[in-house]
Amino acid sequence: MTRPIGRRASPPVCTADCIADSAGGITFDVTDAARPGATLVLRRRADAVGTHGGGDDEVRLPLTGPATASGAGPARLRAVLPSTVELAEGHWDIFTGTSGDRPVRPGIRDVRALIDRVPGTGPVAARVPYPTADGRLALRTWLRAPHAEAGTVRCAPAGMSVEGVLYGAELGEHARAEARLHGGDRTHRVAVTGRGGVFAFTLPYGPLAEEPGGPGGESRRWDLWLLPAPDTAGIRISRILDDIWDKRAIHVYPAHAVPAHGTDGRLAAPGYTHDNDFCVRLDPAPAPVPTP
Amino acid sequence: MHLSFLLHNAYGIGGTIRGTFNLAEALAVHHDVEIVSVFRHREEPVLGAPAGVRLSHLVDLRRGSPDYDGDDPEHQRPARVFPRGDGCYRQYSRLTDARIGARLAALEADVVIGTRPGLNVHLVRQGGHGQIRVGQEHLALDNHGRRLRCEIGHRYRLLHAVTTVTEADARAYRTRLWLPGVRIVAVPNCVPAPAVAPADSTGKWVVAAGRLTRVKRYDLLVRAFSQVVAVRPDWRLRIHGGGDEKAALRRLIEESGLYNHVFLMGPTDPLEAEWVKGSLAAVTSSHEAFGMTIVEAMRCGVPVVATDCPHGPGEIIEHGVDGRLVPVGDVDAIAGALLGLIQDDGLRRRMGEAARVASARFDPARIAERHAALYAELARSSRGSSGGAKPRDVLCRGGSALLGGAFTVRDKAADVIRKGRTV
Repeated sequence: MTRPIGRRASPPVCTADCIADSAGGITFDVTDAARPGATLVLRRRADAVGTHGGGDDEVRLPLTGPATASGAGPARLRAVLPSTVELAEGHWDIFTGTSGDRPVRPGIRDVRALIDRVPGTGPVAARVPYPTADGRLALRTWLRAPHAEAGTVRCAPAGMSVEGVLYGAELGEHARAEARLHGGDRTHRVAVTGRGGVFAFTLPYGPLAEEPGGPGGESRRWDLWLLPAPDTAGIRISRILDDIWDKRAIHVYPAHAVPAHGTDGRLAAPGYTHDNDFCVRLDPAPAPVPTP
Repeated sequence: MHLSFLLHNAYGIGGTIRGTFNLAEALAVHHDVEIVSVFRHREEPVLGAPAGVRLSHLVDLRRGSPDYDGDDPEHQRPARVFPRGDGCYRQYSRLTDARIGARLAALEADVVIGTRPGLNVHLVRQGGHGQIRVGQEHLALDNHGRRLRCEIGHRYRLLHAVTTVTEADARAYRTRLWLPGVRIVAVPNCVPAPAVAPADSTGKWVVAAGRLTRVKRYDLLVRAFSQVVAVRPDWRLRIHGGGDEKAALRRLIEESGLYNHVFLMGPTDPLEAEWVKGSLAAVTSSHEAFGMTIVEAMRCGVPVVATDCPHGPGEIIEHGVDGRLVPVGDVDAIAGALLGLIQDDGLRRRMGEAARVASARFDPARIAERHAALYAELARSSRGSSGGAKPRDVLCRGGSALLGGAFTVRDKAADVIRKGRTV
């Protein structure tokens, strides 16, 4: 009854505890890993389209030890990812072993230093260690220069207002926020208020809902960009200065019904994409319940 | 000593599993410890196998396993030994009756420990001669249905000891059930020292964690937090856990305009790295059989505001010293207690430190010592009683002086009961 199921022998899985510091550095303490001389390998996932960065797709960090003073516990080796090592934006899978092919299991992720983070000068780099759905340790990275961080969002029936902080750029007198239809070329601009690093704008839902484009049943997403001056390149508005690597199910905002020509109307709600980029979604409103 | 724990399913997630793992691991430092899991549905325990503890299972429910037992016709027939009143009754079967019985009969343990009412009944009805039978109760007697209370009130008389996780629950077993000669001892759950450094009390976050169910009353916490935000909009709340109440809580958060301040984080494991992100924790339940999350937060140096609900919180928190207790269901009191600690950084820091120090009493090593002392005492009494005693002595005099006699009688009585039943 207790006989193990016959499977092919696999090497022991190692586990890494992580400690993140507010500057962007991460320390990995790896148990059961790895013989001395082994490395921790960070490999950028192929599906991450590097829209915001370039650089190498593999980073090798030496594992040195022993990292623990506790003595009795299993041997631990330590690798350090300094904040000065630039990582392109995306998902980085983490491996160990001499050939860098053994996945690493997530242990304790002490990422308290990432909460309510205020970045220093220079490019804004965010790195959040996280467990993948299949139980492996990975690193979510962002690299933005300049960067527009979304903050408080307020939702009303007519539209939504957002406040944020701009890093690495100055807000001009005629700054604008721009909603860009995802997968299309339509845009809507609204005025931005604020001074110095702080920006705020209100985006009415009406024009977004009225946009033609496909049958009424289609869901649409508008991505939000900040233009510090009317003729400058847009800065993607995102929320990356904390420990939440995927905000879709956590930062959830109320949806409001917006009338739209030729349809039952749409439900509009701000939210985040799987990259923590800020957006407004317009979904088909649920059909009204017929009254008997 | 050779100690054997009988556990419903060591491969799942839950307070009883975590508690049993922590205790077994701590006991294994000085004793030979095994965990027998009735069911196994996956390769590895979700919570990680406890170090130094043998783990085995009786019924294999892994799809694709060559030993898969799910199609066994005996597993389709309703259990006879496992009591109907136990909430897990439907998962048990004629197959579990037989497998548990065979394992208990073959067991060479000095002490066999059941971890839920149904399994405690198995110990009584199928336990080997000469074994010390200890029934652990992780839920409160009040929470058992009438049927289960009747069943265990009758069966538990043949246990050597019942351990509860609170003194309040131990009192209930002593006064509301008639269990002559059965030792009833409260030993709280254990919580290991966190692997992370304690909270530094600077984060402007309140943290709560538990299943999102009615009994946890997170609706009260959200309402209270509305009052907190009115005074201190720079503070926010994270609630970890999943459950049926999630949609209702989401609606409440939206209606209260708290979607920039209150976040439903979903199921999170492990939690220790989450507590230290906050500098206050909150428990607003209407009932907590123990209150594991309170101890977890305290071990991380985070003071807890908790409702003084039955049974655990009042035995864990010393009000005003290492946390605060507030009346059950009182939104204003919850908000007041939170704000009192939010507005006074020094007080919050001192309470956090006091919580960290006080909660060391729940360390697995210390809790394991209390269990081990009980087991040793029971074993001594049992061995010293070979002369035997008449049942009448036990019934008339009871009490600890005749414990040894009671054990012998209990064994004999158990034998008699067993003879009539084949599984």
